[in-house]
Amino acid sequence: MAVQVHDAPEGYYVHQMAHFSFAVALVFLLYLLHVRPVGTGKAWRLFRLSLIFFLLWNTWTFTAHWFADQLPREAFTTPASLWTNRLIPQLSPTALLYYITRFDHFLCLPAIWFLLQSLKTFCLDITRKNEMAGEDHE
Amino acid sequence: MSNGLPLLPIYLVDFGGSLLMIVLALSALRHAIRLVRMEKDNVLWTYILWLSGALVTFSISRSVAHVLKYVLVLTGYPEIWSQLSPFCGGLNSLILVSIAVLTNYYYNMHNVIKRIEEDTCSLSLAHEQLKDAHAELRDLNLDLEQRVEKRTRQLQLSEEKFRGLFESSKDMILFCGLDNRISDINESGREILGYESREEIIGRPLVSYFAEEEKWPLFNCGLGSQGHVKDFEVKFLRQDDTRLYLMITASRIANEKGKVKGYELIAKDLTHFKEVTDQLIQSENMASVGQLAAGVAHEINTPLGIILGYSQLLMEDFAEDSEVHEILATVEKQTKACKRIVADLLKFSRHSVGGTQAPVDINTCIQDVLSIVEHSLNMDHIYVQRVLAEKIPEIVINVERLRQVLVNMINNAHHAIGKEGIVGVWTRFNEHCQEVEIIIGDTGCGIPPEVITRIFDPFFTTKGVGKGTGLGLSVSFGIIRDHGGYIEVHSPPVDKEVLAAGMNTAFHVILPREPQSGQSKEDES
Repeated sequence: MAVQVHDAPEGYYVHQMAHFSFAVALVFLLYLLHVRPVGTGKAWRLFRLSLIFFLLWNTWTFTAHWFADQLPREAFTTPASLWTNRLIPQLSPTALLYYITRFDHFLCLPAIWFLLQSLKTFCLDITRKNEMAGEDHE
Repeated sequence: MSNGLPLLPIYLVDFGGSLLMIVLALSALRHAIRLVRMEKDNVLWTYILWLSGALVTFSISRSVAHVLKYVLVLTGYPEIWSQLSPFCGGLNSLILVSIAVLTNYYYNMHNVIKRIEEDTCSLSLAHEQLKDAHAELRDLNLDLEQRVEKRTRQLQLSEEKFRGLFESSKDMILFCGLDNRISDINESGREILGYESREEIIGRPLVSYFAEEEKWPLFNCGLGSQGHVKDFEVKFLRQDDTRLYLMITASRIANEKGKVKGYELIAKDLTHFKEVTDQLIQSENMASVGQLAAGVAHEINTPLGIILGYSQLLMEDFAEDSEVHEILATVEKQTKACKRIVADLLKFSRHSVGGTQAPVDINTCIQDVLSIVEHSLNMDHIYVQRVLAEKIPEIVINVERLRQVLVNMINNAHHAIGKEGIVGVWTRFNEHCQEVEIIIGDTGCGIPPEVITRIFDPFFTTKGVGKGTGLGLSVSFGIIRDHGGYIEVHSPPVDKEVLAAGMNTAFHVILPREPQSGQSKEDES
């Protein structure tokens, strides 16, 4: 009993749990930023938007993993050719939803984009603040 | 659709999106680092860096795995990807959990930031308060400096005024402490008291300058009871023991709490005024006595003439060796003595020079007189000290009258000395006043203060009965007055040269160089 054996589904569960904890953390962070904001302005709005998109992407991906788990193993054949690979011939709603959720980059790209814009705006705000402080000193 | 859905769009979106994610994530990481570098001390940016870093790491890890997957599959190494895939998935899971854990730190971060903000606010408030306090202190300091400067100017002005008044006053001003010792005195005070420096006076008790010690309690009592003394007349002693006649006004000095610190004293020197007043009184007395004497002399002169005439006529009727003749001779002699007295009285009272006036050399006149009386003086071991100034102009005067004045004064000096002494004679010419001064001093006993004001009174004499008529100085006074001059007497002398010669009394005869106009008219009449 000292050493437990970890079989194949454990990786899936761990990953899904990670997604879940990530989602909870993001919800918690968004809640805190709402009730106890440390700042306002465009940069913080972009930052919150980034978190929202990360949350959406996380949920989206979680669903994709779940749909993937629902599909039979035969549906995922080792690709002989990336150009000709296709999803299982018998389409089901699950397979179709899986197919759609695989386009998760349409959510994670905006998330990282908003994060970048947020950081840029933070830098710009600081630069302006320093310039104004410099003018005040003069 | 029978062939299923093509996976190529998914692969393309995955591959392209992953590459784009890597670029965007690296750019975001760069900005996060830049943000921290811009404000190194900002703990919020540090947290954002960590959070962004975790998100970026996850994005890169995931995207690299996707790209690697396609590269390995396309390059014919799908089995390698099959081995790497669990690691990549596990790593992604780990990063997701890490982000979740890191997110929870926001709460602590928020508290830290809040605490920092509170501290900052508190410090800012303290800084503002300190700034205000500093500004207020600076204003106060500036105001204080201005006040001090203004007050200093006022004090300086006051000090200058006071010092000017103190130093330039011709009256004596002095300050005494509670011990009645002089703490300060002005220059006039030093001069009036006849000292060389103020230090000789400062520290001495005020009472030591009171010539009449019985007046000190009166002065002190008045000052103590009323707080001030006004117009208090007192005689002060100078350094040379001569006396000053002062009028004192003194007031106590008290601080703000009313505690007496001493007193200030202002003294006006009335010595000269007193002398002039005494002389005026004397002159008035002389005038009154002169009128009386003239009346009496006139009334007595006629009977005396008749007595003398009849006694001389009767003497011719009796033999010279007869008893009656001797009695008549005595009557004649005494009558003549009476007539001489009457004549002297008339000389004193008569307001005319009489006789012939001519230019006379004073020094020659004095030598003539001394040649007559010096033998008599020498008999009593009295010697004459002559200090006769040269180039004294001649003055118009009745020389016989002047000789009479000089003889009177030298005889008085002789009488004052008795035996063994010096009679000093000085002559001077005051060009400014055009006056000639003759000083006759003696080393005799001096004249007591209570007597000095009466010596010119007719019939006043300190000589024994029968030794003097008391008319000598009266007649001399009248003669000099008739010539437009005056006589001063000082005992002890005030003239330093005379005092240095050892004289105890000095008579100053002052005569104008030219007879006064009023006097000439009188002479003509």
